[in-house]
Amino acid sequence: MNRRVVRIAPLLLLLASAGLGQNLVAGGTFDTSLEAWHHDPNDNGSSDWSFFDAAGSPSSGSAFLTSTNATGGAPVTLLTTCVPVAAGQQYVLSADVRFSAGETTTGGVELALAWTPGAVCQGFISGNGFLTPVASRGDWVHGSSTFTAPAGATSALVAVAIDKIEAGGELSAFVDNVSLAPAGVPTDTRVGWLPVVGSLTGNFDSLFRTSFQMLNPNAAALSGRLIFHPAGQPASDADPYMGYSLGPGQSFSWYDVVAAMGLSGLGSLDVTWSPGLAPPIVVPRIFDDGIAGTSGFTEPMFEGPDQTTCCPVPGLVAYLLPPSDLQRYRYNVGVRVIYPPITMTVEVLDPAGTVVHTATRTYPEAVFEQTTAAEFAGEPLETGQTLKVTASTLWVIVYGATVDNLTNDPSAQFLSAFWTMQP
Amino acid sequence: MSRPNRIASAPAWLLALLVPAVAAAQSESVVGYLPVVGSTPGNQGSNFKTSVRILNPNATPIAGRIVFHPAGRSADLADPSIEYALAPEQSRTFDDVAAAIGVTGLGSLDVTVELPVPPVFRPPVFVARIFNDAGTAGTTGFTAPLFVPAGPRPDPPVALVLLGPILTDRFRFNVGVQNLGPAVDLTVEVLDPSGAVRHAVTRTYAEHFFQQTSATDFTGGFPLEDGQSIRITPAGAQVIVYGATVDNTTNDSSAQYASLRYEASRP
Repeated sequence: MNRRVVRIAPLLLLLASAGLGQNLVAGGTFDTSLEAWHHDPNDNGSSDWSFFDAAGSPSSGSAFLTSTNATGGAPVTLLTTCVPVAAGQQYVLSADVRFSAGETTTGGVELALAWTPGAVCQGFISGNGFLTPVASRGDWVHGSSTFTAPAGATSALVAVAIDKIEAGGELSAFVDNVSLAPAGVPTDTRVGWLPVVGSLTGNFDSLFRTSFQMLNPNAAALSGRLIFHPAGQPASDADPYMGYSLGPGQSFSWYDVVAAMGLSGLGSLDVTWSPGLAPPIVVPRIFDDGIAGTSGFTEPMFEGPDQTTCCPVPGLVAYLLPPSDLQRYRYNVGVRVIYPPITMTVEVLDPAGTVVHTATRTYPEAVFEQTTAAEFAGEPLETGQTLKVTASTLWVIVYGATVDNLTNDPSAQFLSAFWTMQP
Repeated sequence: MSRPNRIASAPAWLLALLVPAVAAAQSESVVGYLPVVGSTPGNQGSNFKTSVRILNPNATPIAGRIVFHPAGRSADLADPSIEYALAPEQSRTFDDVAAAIGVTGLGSLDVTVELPVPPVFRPPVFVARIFNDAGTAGTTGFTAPLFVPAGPRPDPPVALVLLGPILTDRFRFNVGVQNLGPAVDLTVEVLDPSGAVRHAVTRTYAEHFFQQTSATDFTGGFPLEDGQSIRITPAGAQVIVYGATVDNTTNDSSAQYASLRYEASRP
């Protein structure tokens, strides 16, 4: 067996986080906020983020929901989110609930699903749900039930409500680990990489977002996860993710995929799926969302060369060609290291090909960084110069991002030994 | 024969990809394809151009041509072109490559190299940016990849798929097809978000033919709605297809490419 196959295996486990399930609900662990959910103010109740976590984690929290409904027996829906589902697929809906001590009202927390025919939860086909009734207050209680998406369903509205029996008074509860996960699906060990995604403000009053469309090209259902790795730190199993589940030919889209996960900032995105199935077709568009419209580009997803075999060439040797006018455009360089830690030599070439500057950079394993080209190269670039990048491994994706200083329009050149998924 | 011989189809990152015995009789060989370029006014006051930077990554000099094939007819060796000659790691810039060739309008580019080339040869690094030139108001555009023949890949899709824009009232959507092989019939199906087929049509493309149309024309007069996508078969056709999304307010363009037989060139 090829020695590198053995070395790559732990990497795949790291990236795919096998065994974590494929929860379709983004932000269901309420790590830092409720922002992945629709949680508008409600006259009959309230929703707030709490640092009180079901597992006692100091780095996560829960949703604190309260019903003050004057009408008894009327559920107050406080959190909703829309997820893609595949008709005919079984899903496990679950959550952890803890009712506040000191209250005397009765009822429970209701988790509900509205199966819908529309791509973004328009219309209604049927509903399912279950109630976690008030039991021992002060203890976390796990509730779970399995449902099948009916024919014609392409999305589901996941709702969390407080159902108070008595008229008047308050019933409050902490809710954590809300999950809707496809049942009985294979582990998603295949990985495609999007080197950069973001939802953040940039220079020159820019506001960058990443829209994301995906489609299942298989004749069978396809599920997996979108895993966000924040920039500037090694990727981790604890990084936030959002599952997806699509029937044959089904598609789904997010206007801002990072915000849809309740997140913000710059990072990279892993897309996972199960072996034996063609990968999802994805169309991410990184764009400046200006008042006068958008400007951006479509980013390819990278995979391979073959995640179970070895690479024939030890390292990446490639060239970044910056814009010809460095006054009109700004230029940044991003590096997404897959595996292992790498050393990179960066040479600045003049238009004749002569090396005028050399810098050495090192990166830890599974990290993503974006810097200005000057920081990357170790000195400011001049018109007509190029960057020669020599990396100690092929398991890296490098890009040069050009941004027009007047329009904030971005575009990018990608360097990778990996093929792009589409094409 | 209407086109120069193509260099062997090994992925670019495998480095050694020329077959001298076959290539010896040829004066040049195509090393990559850019499905669409232009120097042309577009809808809504847009003015599209294509800038190109090209670099020789080899340890020996290379020379060749950048050949422009106008849209709407089969490609020919006599189509307009511009020559390049590059020393090792030398680079050259064309701010408007079509204008440099002396043409206007929409078309596709072939990048060729003169033969013979060394046994270990890397195609030139080619960075093309297709952009709307709004003059003093700046530019908006995207970097387009150069395509080379693709190697095998696991679990290949059985169809090529283009996903329409998320908001069809804010963006216009055009579809281009570059046929790099013999004449071909493509089945074009419109899928709704659930995957159901809403419309189907067959389109025929002549040998070595490039055409870009509106998505509505491409689907035979079926306007795309939000969330719909286009499925194209057979996936194994020698074509590169793309869907170009243009913001109606900014005229900013971006593109999704789909091909089984060709892939974006790699270092």
